[in-house]
Amino acid sequence: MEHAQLIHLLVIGVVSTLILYGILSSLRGKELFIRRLAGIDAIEEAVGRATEMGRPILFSVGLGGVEIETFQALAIASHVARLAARYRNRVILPVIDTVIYTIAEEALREAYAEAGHPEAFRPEDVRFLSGSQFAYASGVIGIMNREKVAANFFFGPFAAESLILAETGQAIGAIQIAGTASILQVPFFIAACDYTIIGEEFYAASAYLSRDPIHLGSVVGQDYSKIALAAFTFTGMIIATLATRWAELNGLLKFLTGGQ
Amino acid sequence: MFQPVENTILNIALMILSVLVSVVFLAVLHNVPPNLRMRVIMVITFIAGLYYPLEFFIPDGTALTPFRNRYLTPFLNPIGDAVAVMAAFTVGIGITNLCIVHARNISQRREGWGNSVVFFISMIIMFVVTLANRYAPNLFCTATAENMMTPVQAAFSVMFEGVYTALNATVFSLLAFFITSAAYRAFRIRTAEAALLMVGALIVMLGQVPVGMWLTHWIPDESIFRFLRFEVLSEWLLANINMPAQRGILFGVWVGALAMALRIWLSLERGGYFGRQF
Amino acid sequence: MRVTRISDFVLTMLSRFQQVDRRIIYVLVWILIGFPIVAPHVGIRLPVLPMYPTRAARSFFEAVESVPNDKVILVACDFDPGTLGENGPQCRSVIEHIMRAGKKFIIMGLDQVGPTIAQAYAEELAKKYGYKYGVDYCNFGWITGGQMFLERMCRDLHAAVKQDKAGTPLSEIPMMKNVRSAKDIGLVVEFTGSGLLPLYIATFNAQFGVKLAQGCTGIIGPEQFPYLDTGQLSGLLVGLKGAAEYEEMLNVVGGGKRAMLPQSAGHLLIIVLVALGNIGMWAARKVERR
Repeated sequence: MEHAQLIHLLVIGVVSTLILYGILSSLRGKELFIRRLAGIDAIEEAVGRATEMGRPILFSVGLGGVEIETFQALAIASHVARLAARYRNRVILPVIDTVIYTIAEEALREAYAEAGHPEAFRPEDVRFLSGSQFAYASGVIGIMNREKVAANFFFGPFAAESLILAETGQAIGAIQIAGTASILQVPFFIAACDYTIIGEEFYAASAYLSRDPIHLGSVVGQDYSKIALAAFTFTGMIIATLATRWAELNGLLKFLTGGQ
Repeated sequence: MFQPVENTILNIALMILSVLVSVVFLAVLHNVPPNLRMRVIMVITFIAGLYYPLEFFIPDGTALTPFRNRYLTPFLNPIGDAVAVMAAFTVGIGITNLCIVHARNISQRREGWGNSVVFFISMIIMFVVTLANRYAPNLFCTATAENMMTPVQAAFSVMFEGVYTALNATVFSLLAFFITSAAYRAFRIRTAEAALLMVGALIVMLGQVPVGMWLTHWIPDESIFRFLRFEVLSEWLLANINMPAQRGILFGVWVGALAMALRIWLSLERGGYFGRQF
Repeated sequence: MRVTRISDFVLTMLSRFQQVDRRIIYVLVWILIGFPIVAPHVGIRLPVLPMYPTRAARSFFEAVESVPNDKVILVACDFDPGTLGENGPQCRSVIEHIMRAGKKFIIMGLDQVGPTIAQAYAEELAKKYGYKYGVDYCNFGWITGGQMFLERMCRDLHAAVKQDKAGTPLSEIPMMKNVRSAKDIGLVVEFTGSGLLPLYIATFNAQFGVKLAQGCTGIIGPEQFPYLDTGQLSGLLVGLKGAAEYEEMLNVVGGGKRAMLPQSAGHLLIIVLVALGNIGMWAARKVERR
């Protein structure tokens, strides 16, 4: 299959329609509810604690390059930077990708400017460390120890170095909040961090923080999509089971599985 | 289509022309009113993001298929090359940033400036040795036997395999220590769910090592109690309990990623570098 | 606190286990994992523990065996020195199996170092099995461009890759004359410590129907099981245990089997420490109540 089958188009079409429906409903003024996310609520507490201690904040956006998860991490980094800028506190943001470095520097600069303290932004606090996973991890734990950071934020795609970062932060006594869509790293963050945001809560964070109608509507649309996908999966399961008894259903099953 | 042209002068001229066009376009974009600039960016984002969905999602065997095969699919490789070229423009930025940060540390004698000196020394040595190994491996002398290395090749081998490879593996090995201390600190049975988690973790851990296999190897392979062997139970837990849970989380993750991609593509994303609503 | 009974004394002693200094833990890890590695080199013989290959490892083995003789195996070495400890023994044992089965293979990788490491394994094993570079195997080296480049490889290998790691044009490599696209590849085996599998599934498997098998690190192992269940992966080796299972099926002793005793020691240490931590927590609660 070099290109999509009709079923793929239908599924993506339905999911996208539901997401856009959620956004449009929200823009039309419909009241939408998102449940509390403890980890996101704790961001302000962590920033405040670091400011009281007079120590900087470290925000790691993970190993990703130009991808959705990294953009979401940068959106949260902007929020953290706006909070820190109010108190003229530093946010150190080490990156592993040169393209993300340029975007991250611009994002933090704008965040400090929006908070009314552009002079508090230090360009050298956004650092490209290395393109290599463990060299990046070594650099980050070095920064944690030398700068004696009081709060660590780990948001974005992470791999094996997640526990190295989190455990080092734990050892220096920093308050730590992590959020990732890399589900395999979630157990390590849960063991070593104070708050962890799991899976799609990570993508809902921007809606929770901004309360922007577009973001809120998008999260609600995602929930509708998951219900639709669950219904589709359940229907497929029933058809696959019945197809073992009635061979006439094999054609429909083949259509639902994209011809495979 | 878009085959490389073996003409150095033409290639250099095209490169210079493309850089000039880009600079002019960006300068014009920078000087137009913000509203107009935002609209131009929205249109470019939408068109750029439209290509891949159209190319992939127009299904096989439809009236639109000739359109896709003739006008969309042939551009797949050149567009991929163009994206790689654009990303390559940023390669120098990372190195420049590193040099600026460490040079500032040295010039201002900040705490730990000695590490910055080490950074420059090791970067220069690695750079020189790698270039020499690639372009002048016989710089000082040629190898006298088949399995021998020249001094340049030996230096590269020491730097890369002896230092870089070993250091990478060393940092990864820290995980063994950190996993032990994190597990000891975090795995406390305070609730019934934690107890259940602990039992599952114990079974999976023992199923991953021969010690666990040895503990239950006396259970015959053909008996109905075979499922009580640690490796069988562990595999069952991973395949039937862990996997559906992972799939469920993956559904949510990918729907969330699709939603964000849609917002970016339709320029609905707000905040930070995406700009404010106009 | 004044201790009035022996049981109070015991409970107080036990409660100390809930806060063992992390440096003591690190020393214990160092000793228990280091000793089984060093012991054979100083003449101390340690027991060999039994290995029972799992279904996923056996499927991997069968996938390699069942590759038709007119097709090649693509060995994708997407690992770096950080995961060499796990991916290295996996890669080495699979390459040995490929050579033993008489199949031709191509080494490549989305990481810089992986193909170099695999080349070293291949050269060492080639002496044992009489394999010749260019005739029975070749090495494309480091491939950049991610999924887009993999798609190009699938459609036209020669146009995408052009030359091997040493700079020899593919047209001059004898084994590559009849290998033009994904249709000539019977199996892709990928070794990685990162989440690169979806790239191969989206290209080789989904678009061109090429079978996939993977050797991954223990940390990302659980994430790969869904693909095994749907049939997108034909086999899976997880961590050092996967390498040891494969060596068991090949009846050789390599890095995987040698590492089983230290790995077992490490796992047992974690289990004991967790148990002591919970005993300490329980004892501390008892003491507080009294």
